[in-house]
Amino acid sequence: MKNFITKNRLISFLAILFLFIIWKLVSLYAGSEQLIPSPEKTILAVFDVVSRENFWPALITTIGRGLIGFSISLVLAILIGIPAGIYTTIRLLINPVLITFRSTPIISLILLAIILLGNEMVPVFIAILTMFPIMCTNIIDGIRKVDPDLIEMGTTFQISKERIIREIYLPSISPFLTSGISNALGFGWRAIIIGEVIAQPEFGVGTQMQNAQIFLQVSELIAWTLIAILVSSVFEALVRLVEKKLVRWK
Amino acid sequence: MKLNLNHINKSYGELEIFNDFSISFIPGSINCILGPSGCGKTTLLNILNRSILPDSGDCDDFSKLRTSYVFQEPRLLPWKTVKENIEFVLKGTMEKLELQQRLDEYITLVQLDKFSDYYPSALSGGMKQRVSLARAFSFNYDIVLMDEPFKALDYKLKNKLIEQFLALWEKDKRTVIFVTHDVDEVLQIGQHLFIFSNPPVQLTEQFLIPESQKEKDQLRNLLLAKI
Repeated sequence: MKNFITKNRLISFLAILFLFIIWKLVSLYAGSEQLIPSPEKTILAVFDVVSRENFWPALITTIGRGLIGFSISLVLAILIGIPAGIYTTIRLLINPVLITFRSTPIISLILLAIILLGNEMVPVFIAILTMFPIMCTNIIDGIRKVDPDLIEMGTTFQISKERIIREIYLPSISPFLTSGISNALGFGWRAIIIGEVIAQPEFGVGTQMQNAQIFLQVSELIAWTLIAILVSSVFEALVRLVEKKLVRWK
Repeated sequence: MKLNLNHINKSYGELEIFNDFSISFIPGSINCILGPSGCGKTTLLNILNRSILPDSGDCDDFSKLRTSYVFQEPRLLPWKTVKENIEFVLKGTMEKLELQQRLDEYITLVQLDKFSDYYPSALSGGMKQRVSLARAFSFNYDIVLMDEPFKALDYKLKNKLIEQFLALWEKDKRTVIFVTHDVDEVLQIGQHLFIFSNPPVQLTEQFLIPESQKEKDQLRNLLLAKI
């Protein structure tokens, strides 16, 4: 087992190394640190970006937006997804809304939101609009796959509706919920950053990216991108950790 | 306590399950129902359990009773341990201290003391059914309904479970309504036997199950000849 883990790590490490080598070769071929900076220059740019005084406000604001948007989406998804999974009428009512949100281009939502909401609110709003439908759909699917025999067992022993939801429905949807959360966060971070790039709130990773782009600071743009990837993977790892705790019984 | 069903009618579309069906169960004893599969035995349990309503008829005797259930499959919650699965049905029906005592008592009765913190996925089929028995009998019930609970088990396990079931029942001898299609099971556990026909269900015969082995053997031959 331990051997497997170290072996898998080695393979992942090699894959990343391979990407860096390609990157280096491309930057050598381009011959311009301005247009395609080398990996080492970009790493230096990461340190430079991190040491600036506007780094933490930007990063913390973006993460904060993500967390606020995520929490609101999760609560909404649970409150709407559970009844929609149980009752067909509610599901039929909510389904067209979910499909519409899932298929609307994010950019149209952003442009609308800028007009309607003002710049500071746009990223959070976009985060909710992208994350909520994903999680809600997963919860509905999960509820519909709950074993009806277990529900019948619960009602036979006269367990209250509230406890049936808490102790039968919720644990059975937890695998669906965690995969929904991890999907939603993946899309969510990207949507928030797009929102920040376009709406230009005062602080934010996207705002910084947009500035770097205007001043043609390619290495800085890539540095922010690497930081965004890091944030996303830290949260992904957190979700996996929670998932492991939740499905201990398997 | 009276346990009568009077003039029950129930159909599913064209299929008439009960047509003016009446039966009187014997309180405080193990009532077995024997009949061909698809003869409406599970429907009867569901009516007694009030999870389905008959189209018409009187089932008032059962309307205020607390029923417990042993299903054909164990139906345990996979995310709860043995102990928590039993606790699940007891919670809210008694004081905390009594609940703890009862948990320990019934887990010991089905000999799962060492496994009380195991999740169902780590238990064998027989062990899971023992948890289901403990859950049903620890519940504060007036009658317990059992729907072929030993069907999926092999012969040796079945005998062991029947022993444990009888030990559980002996504790306070409440009413059991036990559905099966296995004659030997009936003779091993039953006190009263009701024989059902194909639908629309008629109560074709009713027996008091004798104590002596000799009479049991005679009844066994009689029953096997009928079915």
